[in-house]
Amino acid sequence: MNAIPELIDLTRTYYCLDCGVCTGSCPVARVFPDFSPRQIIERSLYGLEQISDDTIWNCLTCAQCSVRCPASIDFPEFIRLIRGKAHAGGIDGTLTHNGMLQSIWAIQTRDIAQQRTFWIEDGKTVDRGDMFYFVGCRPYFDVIFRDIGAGSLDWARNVLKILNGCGIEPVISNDERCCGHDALWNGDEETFKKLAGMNLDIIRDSGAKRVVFSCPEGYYTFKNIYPKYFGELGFEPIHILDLLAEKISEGAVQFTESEKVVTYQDPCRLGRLSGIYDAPRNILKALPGVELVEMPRSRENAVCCGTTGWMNCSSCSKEIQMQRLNEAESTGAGTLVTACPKCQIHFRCAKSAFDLGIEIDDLYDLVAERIK
Amino acid sequence: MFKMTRELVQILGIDPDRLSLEWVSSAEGTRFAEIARSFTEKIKTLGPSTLKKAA
Repeated sequence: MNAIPELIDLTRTYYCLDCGVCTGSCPVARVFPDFSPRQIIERSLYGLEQISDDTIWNCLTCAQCSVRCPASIDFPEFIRLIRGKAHAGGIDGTLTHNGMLQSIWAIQTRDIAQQRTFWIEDGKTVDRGDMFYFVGCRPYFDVIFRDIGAGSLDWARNVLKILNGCGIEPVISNDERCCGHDALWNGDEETFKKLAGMNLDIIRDSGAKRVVFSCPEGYYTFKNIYPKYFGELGFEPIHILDLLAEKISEGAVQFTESEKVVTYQDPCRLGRLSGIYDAPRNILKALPGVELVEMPRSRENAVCCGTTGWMNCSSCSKEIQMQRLNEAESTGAGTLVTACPKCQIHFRCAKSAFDLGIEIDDLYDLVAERIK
Repeated sequence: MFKMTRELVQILGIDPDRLSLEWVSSAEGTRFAEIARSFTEKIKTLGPSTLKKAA
């Protein structure tokens, strides 16, 4: 059965104006002309697209097309729904890292006793309290991406240091699960719902009224996707960049001076999908000695880091990453600052594969090492 | 890869002793049987895994 007509109605894809802005904007289409959002929509409207079509797994869901679409068609959502039908029919994308990440989140849907908070060391946390820090997948990334020097747990330690520096002692739980973002975008809605339901129980049991995120995907998923499936959350998801920018403007945090010229990568889930553009820039400007130079394509025009959902990483992904790192380097900045663990992993992977001069730093590392 | 997997299962709360890697050549039938026997014994001693289906 071809379920696409139903999805066209659901997402109102029939409003397509044939203008082609989507394909013209698409970072994948730029390096892989066989992939075209416009053609996928066109073919779907004429009943030619098949849910078994390989191209549905190549979309980065970066929302560059949908923010520019004059008919407000949510192409990533259309793709996600087609992936859902494909997955239900036993068709999946090409999983990266031998499906290791998919296995990890599948195990997390079981009744397990994780040991994922060992990294806290001398950071201050509480068992129950007003604020929950949702760490995200870093404990696992730290192991998997050690060989490319990415995903380090120092990032989580630094986020906790920043929170403590702001006078916040959060709850951090061993029972936290993957937020389900990637399962959802892999078309695996069932696993997403299991993981999300478990996270909601854990957070509600902690008594927290606010949940702080440092991962853009976790923040976006809790804030925008969880309510669609579970209704009222009973707590407020906040992003640490908003929190920190506010604390800095109140003068609650002081920094030491250190010279550095940087450029900034807007993560898709933080920028285009959550509208957080100014907070990271205000934070960088508040660091004495740090100078921010923008890339030609920044804010809502920022280019995706090249791969998503732990699938379909290819030579096209590497081409997108190379182009982006060259763009960063040509600003004259010696460092590209990222605010998303995935961006960091993907760019550091490209940097380790090719001989590139630019450094890739995490915003939280940059901030934490300067806190007085 | 094995060291990485051991670390990952530990974070997931699974006893890393449930994981083993041995290299056995096609000429070492007896050794293969010994390893399979002793690992089966070890797993029996460890008892059922905590990895139950979520309620």
